[in-house]
Amino acid sequence: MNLRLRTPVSAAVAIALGFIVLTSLVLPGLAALRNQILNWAMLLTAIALLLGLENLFQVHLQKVRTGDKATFSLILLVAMIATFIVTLWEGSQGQLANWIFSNIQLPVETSLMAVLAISLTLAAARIMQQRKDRMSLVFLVTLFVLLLSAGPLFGIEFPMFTKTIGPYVNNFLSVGALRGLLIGVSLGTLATGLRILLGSDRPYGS
Amino acid sequence: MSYRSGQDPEESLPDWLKDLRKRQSQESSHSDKTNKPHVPSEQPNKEEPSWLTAIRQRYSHSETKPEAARPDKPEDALSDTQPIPPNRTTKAHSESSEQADPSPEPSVKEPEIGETESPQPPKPEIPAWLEELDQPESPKGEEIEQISSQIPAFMEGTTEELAPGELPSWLQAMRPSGVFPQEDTRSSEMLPGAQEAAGPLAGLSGTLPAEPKAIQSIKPPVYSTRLDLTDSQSRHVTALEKLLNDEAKPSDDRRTPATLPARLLNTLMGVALILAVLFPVLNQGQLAPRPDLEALPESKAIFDLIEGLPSGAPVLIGFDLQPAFYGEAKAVIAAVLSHLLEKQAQLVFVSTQPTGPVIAENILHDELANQPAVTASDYTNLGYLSGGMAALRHFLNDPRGSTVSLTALGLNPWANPSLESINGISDFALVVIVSSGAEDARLWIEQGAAELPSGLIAVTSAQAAPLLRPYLQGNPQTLKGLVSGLRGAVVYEQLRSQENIDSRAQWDAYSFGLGAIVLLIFLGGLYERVIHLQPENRTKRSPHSPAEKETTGSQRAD
Amino acid sequence: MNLPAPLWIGLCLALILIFTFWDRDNPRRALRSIPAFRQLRRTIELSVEDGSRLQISLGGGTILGPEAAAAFAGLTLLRQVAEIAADSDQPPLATTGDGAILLLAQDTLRTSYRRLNISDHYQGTFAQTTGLTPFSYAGGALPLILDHNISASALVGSFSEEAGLLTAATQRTGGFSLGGSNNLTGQAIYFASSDQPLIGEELFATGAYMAADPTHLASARAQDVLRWVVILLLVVTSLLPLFALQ
Repeated sequence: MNLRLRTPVSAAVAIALGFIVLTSLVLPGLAALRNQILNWAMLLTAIALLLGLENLFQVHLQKVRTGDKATFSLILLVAMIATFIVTLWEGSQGQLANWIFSNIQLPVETSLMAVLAISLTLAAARIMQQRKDRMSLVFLVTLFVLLLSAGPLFGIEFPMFTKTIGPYVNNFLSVGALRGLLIGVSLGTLATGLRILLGSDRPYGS
Repeated sequence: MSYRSGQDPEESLPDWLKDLRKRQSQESSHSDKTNKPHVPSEQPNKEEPSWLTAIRQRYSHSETKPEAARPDKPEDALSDTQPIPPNRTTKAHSESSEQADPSPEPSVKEPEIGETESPQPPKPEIPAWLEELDQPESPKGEEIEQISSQIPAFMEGTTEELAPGELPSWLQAMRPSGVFPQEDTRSSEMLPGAQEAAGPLAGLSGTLPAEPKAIQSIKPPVYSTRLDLTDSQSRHVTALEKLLNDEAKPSDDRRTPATLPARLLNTLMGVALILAVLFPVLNQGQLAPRPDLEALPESKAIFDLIEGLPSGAPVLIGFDLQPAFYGEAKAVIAAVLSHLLEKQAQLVFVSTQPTGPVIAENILHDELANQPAVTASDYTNLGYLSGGMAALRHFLNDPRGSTVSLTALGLNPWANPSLESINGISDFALVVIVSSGAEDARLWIEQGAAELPSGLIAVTSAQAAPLLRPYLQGNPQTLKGLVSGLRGAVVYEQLRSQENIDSRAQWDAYSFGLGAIVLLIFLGGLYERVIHLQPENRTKRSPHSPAEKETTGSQRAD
Repeated sequence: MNLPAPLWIGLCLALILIFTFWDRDNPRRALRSIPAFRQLRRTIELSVEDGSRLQISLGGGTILGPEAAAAFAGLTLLRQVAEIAADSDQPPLATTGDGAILLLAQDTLRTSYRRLNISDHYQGTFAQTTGLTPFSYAGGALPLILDHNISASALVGSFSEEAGLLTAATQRTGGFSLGGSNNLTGQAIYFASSDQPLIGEELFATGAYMAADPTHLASARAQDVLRWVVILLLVVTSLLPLFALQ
């Protein structure tokens, strides 16, 4: 199926739905309509999740056909189909589905997290080599302070850091900085949302 | 193509090549006949192929007799390669100067004097209309006035009336004799000899010398390019130079892939971290001191809230944990959930992450399997809410309506008798957010805090705690309590006067891992510095080199 | 001083509209320099020249949350990159961890190819979902970065800790990495590990700095003005109690 709506139609739908959800925050009478729209959105998001899986399947199927690292792609496809069938058969809380999750996905993702710890340690070690400026120095000093205050190092606690400097940085300095960043991000999010409502930013194509 | 030994190679040639050879030989013989008288000395080598002989002859003709070399027939393909005949220049002396100095001369025209000295070139065929222009008729009486206004200051015809070397009277009146203002001082640097001593240009300074050889012998003068600049101008110039230099370094934008020392460093760091974490686990000695209870007052707040719950109170748990954080967060999650289960709370799980419901089941069955409520499955898992914040907003507005799809499938989670009293989110006695990152917890806080009179508490990974502090310290306080990471788990167990052996071992491993990370960052920084100070690596420095990064960084800092 | 949400929305909307029409003739007047975008533009041009590939990571999250704004910034960048590099030997790749963002990425790429009149060169696999959880997404994107002659990775979207894996992989291949996320953890990781991080609201100025339409520029200027309004309010609310005491 190749359904393509013309841009003005899709833009009008997007703007109208966004406007209804936005005004429902001010006008309580629109709450029911807003809930209905959110219900549709949730349904569409779930369908989009399936489309994402379909894309993953297509990409690796193409790799198998072209022979580009076909072995790994083949393993992925077989595992994907098997998990899908099992989960469909006995539900996401079934014994076999749980076994697959606990013994395959959890260890893989936890291992990636462990690799990340090494990568970030290396990145921190190299930061002054790669970016020599005042902010990097501040970053590095703060990092050391927080690491020393996070707990005992090799079993030895540094009370000056864990009880004095660490809480001060955590409760005052970093909170102020975080609020500033959060305000900036919120303003950016607000502006982006309004651009979409105005129809000038069209992530749905143009 | 190959041929047998002993066989004449000519015989093995294909027919088309033989025809071509034959035609070439005919053409060369014809050319020899026509050009033979014009070749005085260079006889073609008999062993040379005919086509090469033809080229040689053609070149020799052009050098010896340019006029005769012009063929009447159209020029062949090699005509463009012939040297330019000297008669095209019409100046004998320029011809000689070209031979002496092949370097291109500036396009300054030679004085007309040279033209008079050149030998008369053969008169080309000029069309009749052009000859008429060369011999203008004298104007008639009535046309004189009209023409006089168009007469230029110097007419070619008038120069013929003067003898060479004589000057008209008006020009003699203008002779300088030192009365002209001095020209730009640079002309004296450029041209040796201040004044012409004789001839029509006598008295003029800075004139071009007549002899080309004199020009050749002049050394290029050295000009002073030094400008008087103010400090402000100098700064601008420096900034512009830097800008241009930065723009002219495109090749620097490719960094070399990770080198062996970098990979070695990466590997060594990994091995060191693994060893540091493994040591206390294998040693099993309780090496790291436990944190003080006063250090985390927000954990004590959670403990107090749960302690105050009535038996059988419904508690909503927003379970948004990512699988990658399971290892770190399971200790603290298990500590809080076991406390809730001991208080006989009625747990209701819901998640905005696809993997959330599965991880919740996993923790319940792996860490809390001995709890009666888990054994009897006396809890409710509402599953996954697809749609992120919008879905959460919908759930907070209408918990029963947002899970209607499950009801349609015959899996009505609200059928549990203990949930009969739940019609809205405010009916829950407590809402606990279990999250790996601060963003998921923020969604719950920002969307739900206003509608939850009992308040929200959060159980998170350690990395989320600093980002959630603004909500703990805010006024009104939107987050009532927070317990995070392994440190939070150890503190919470202390609050409950319990000690889990696993979390104790993890705390020791955490302590050694933390120490190893601090040490590695310090030593790794030193190692990187030493490696990059070596000369061979300095040339291969990355594009986003320290110099560039310093610039960008300072710009950002400013 | 607690201004209600509709007032902020109205103020932002008014500023965007004012700057759109007011500064139409001289839209770039007030934009400050962000080195990350300057570096990215240069890297895109170099990648097209040397025939290497660009990778745009749009991150995870959903389009129904605040992280959608970050994904939209990434899509704007994807459109700009595609219109420059789509007809090169190695067209840009987009990766995402969400199905809905995947659809938008495919649509963005398709539109760019159509604008360049090379619709027949477009393939659906130029935009890929590599995983549906953050770390599985990063795990799926790693082979793409390591094996596909990627010279630059622009990681613009909703990223958290997994961003560290992607930047490490890009550094390993010697490529350039630009990182922007709405997530503060992601921003901290980018600061330590990427070549050029986008801090705070810089992410949302992507459209303005990558030469998009005037509304992006007006939006960036509106953000700057609103930030000053917030600063002013913070200062005033901090000083008010002092005067009240007197």
